[in-house]
Amino acid sequence: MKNRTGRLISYIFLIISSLVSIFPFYWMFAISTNTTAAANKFPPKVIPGDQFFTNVQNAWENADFITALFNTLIVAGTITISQLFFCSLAAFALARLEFKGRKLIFLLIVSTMLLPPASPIPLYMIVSKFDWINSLYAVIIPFLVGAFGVFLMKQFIESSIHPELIESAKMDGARNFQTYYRIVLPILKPGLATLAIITFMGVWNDFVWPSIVLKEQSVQTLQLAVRGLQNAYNRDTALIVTGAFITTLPLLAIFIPFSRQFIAGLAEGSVKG
Amino acid sequence: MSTKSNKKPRFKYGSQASRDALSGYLYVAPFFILFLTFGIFPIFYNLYISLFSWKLFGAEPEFIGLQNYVWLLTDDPTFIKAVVNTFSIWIISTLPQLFIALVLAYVLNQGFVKMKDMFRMAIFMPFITSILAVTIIFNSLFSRDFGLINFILGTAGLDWKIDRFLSHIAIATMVNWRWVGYNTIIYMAGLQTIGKDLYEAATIDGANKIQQFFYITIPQLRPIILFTIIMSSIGGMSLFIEPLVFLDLRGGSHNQGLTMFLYLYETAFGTKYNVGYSAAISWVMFVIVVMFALLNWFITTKVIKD
Amino acid sequence: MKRFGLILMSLMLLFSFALAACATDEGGEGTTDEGNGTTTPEPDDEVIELTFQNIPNTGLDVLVEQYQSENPNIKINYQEAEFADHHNGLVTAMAAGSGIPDIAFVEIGFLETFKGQQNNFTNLYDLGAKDATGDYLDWKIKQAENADGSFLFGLPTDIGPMAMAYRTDIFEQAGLPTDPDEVSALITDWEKFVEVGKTVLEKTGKPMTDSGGTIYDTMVGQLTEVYFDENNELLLETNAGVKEAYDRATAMVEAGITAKVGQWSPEWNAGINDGGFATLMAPAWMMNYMKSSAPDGAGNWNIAQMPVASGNWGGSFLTIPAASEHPQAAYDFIEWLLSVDNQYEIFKATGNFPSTPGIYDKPEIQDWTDEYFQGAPVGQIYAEAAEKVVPVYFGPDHQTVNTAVKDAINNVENNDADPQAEWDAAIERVNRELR
Repeated sequence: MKNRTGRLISYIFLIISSLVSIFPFYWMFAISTNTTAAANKFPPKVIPGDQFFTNVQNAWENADFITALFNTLIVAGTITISQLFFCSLAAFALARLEFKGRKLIFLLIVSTMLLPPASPIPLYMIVSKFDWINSLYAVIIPFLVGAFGVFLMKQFIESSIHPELIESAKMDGARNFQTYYRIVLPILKPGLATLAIITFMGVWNDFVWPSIVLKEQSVQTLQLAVRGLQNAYNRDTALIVTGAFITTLPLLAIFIPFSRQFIAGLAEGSVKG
Repeated sequence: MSTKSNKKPRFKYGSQASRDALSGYLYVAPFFILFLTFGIFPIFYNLYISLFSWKLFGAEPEFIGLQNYVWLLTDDPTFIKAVVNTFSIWIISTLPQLFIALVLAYVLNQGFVKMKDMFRMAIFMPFITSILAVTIIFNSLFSRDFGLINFILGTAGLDWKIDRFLSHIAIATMVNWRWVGYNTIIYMAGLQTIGKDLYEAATIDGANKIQQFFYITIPQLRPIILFTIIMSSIGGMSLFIEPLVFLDLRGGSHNQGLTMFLYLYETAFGTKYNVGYSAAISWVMFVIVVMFALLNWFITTKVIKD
Repeated sequence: MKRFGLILMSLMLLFSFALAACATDEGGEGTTDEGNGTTTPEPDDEVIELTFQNIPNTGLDVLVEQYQSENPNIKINYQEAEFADHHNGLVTAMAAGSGIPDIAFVEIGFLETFKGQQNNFTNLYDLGAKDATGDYLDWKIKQAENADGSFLFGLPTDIGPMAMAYRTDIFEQAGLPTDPDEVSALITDWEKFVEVGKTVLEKTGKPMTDSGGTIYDTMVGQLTEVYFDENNELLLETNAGVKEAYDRATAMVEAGITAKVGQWSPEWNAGINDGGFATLMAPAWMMNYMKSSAPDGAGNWNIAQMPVASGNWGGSFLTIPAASEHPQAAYDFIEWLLSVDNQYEIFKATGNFPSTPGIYDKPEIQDWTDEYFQGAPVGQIYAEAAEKVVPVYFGPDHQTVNTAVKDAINNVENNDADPQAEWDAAIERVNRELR
């Protein structure tokens, strides 16, 4: 009896949380199918209209989404793969190899996470010295390895890979890189998936730094394209929301199948090694 | 046995210890190469320009020593306001966010729950959207005259942007919505590490689920909770895009939603182009963030232990 | 070890893919420096490459193509960015000393700030602009000159002469005249404006205008001296005109004749659309905005003269930063781009109002009426307004001060703050921010 109410409350809680999580997506869809005039009514219009294709066409004409998507994929893809590799490698060294000063090195890396977010001017100066203004290098190279990634990977390695496992691999005569590649990487998969998603999203979403270094249309990223819509028609709500919606769609398409795996992997697979 | 011998590595060429050292340095090298190239210079350059009265468009830079810091700490109500706003938004975003995530993770981890995959995916979905998109959507939801939220709450005409506290709630809502799912997933991973025997023993002792949540789950998850709190304080302290897009560069007409980072950005890029002062803000911010992270560390370790 | 090689190779492959993608993008780059040659070999007769950074929707991009096809030795690398991002990017580039374009769009508000760094720009008078300035409105050229008139920062693009748009349906309901001439005669100054506003509020329950901030901007736009004198001394506390404008604007707010909607907000759009307020101070470029974002307002708006005098809101310039390696080629291009004939073309394509009075007499402008505004002779009204604008000195910190004062008005309007306390706070804030 008591158990039953507990379950009921649990389900209600889950359902409400899910609805709250999903509703803004629906809202985004609903507005992108209406005109701005229709969206600006009280009570607000919650029913989808028939303006979706007009809005998409309008957004399409005002921004080059194909180029932007291509650029974003290059930037986010390169950074993600590079971060997975270099961060997990560094984390492996810091967590499971014995060498002088590794504690200090780890502390140094972690403390860089706390460094103040500086004004972009000095970084701009460096990037321009390399002649990377209006080049995707400017938004890729500085972000190939990150303190957060190293930190996260180290956490995962420490919680899921027992030192004895490494030791026994060494006993069998494995080189360090082989140990990393054959033992650490497979067990680390859920951790890597987490880092991949966090990195990919972070890069996909950034627009402050790209807006400063990428001024040419041919190198613009998706967020810059949406940002551009915000100006082109000032506050044309339907157009802007449509832009936000069509830049979110590819992510949903990539992540709905992938995140299922990622979530399941995280929740079930990890830690047991 | 073998672990012990590794604690005192002997550096003989070709030995395991020397190979470990070599690989170790090699593997962490990429981070330091990039950091030295792109991270160190901006930090020290910032320290340098913070000693100048330097406006990008105006008179030549003039060395004024610590004057920027003196102004910032003793005579700048706007900065105080920005600090208070940042902490206010942080509290009303982080506490509910982590608590809801913890409860969600706990519930989702129960054996009886069906369709776990579906719930998890739904809750995780907000994390996929960009901050820009989130802000655009919530801007529409929180609209004064046409907002759905005003309609549901029956508060037609309530302006969520002008009142200080209401604007904090609106901004915190965006943060909460986007991050609850992420933290839930992190906590669920942590819950897997707690042995079933602990719960079984507690059940035999007659503890109900809620008691188990408070007396087993939370203490056992301590390292992970600490991790999420540290991460959300770093994120919360550098909050900036949400107030920028929801309000404006100044965080609204009376700086109601101005955060520290937004103030830094506005000082350098708004209308003032005062990069010297902006650099000083970034250093004071650094000290605040470090102190705050340490304090969080301390409190979390203490509180959850007891 | 084999696997290590495999990983390394796939990683390198990925990198080279990314690099290749970057390199192709770089091919079109023209940051005015050496380093092209790597990707695309240039033909032997010297091709001059010019980078032109602009904001969207200026109507200038179409003409860029035409210039290139007429001048095969010029290659223009055209770039667009969102308004604020564009200006911030320009500031960053100039501060860092690289990535600066040959031609940069600069809006009037930013130009005032940029004037503080004269050495970052090329003096267009050195490139032959003396012969061209006669084509443009005097006050517009004055805006682009330094204090003593020896240095010209840019050539003018469009302008924003002001008139007063009003809702005939609301005026009729309030028992007021609706004919433009009669309305102009009725509202000759701001006192009359308030009087009429009170009548409108009483008879129809509708506010007279959108916000105190807009009215303040408009009134300040009619002064000859605003926050700074020509020596850049702050006048905020001594300029009676500014204080008067502030007092009038806040008094209107407190009398309840403003609708309390901020410019560009959805509420503001809806107000224009559905008649949420009776008047709107409208520069020429506002007409297009009203039509696209408030289509249902068509036929309910008309246009009359502004109270007191005309004014100007916005408008922009094309500048040549000092870093340009081909200033003369850049100048030749913008002189052509902003010539009388081309401004006329831009006007026909976009409705942006030309800064060249020579074409104000053309039939397309004189006979230009607009159905959205009940067939009002908008071309005539704005042309007349444009020639009446008087030049104002703003100073490099104009925007900082203006932001502070507008914020004060906004606080009175939306947060029930006390006008005098907000005024004092604004002065204190300005003094702190200018130090």
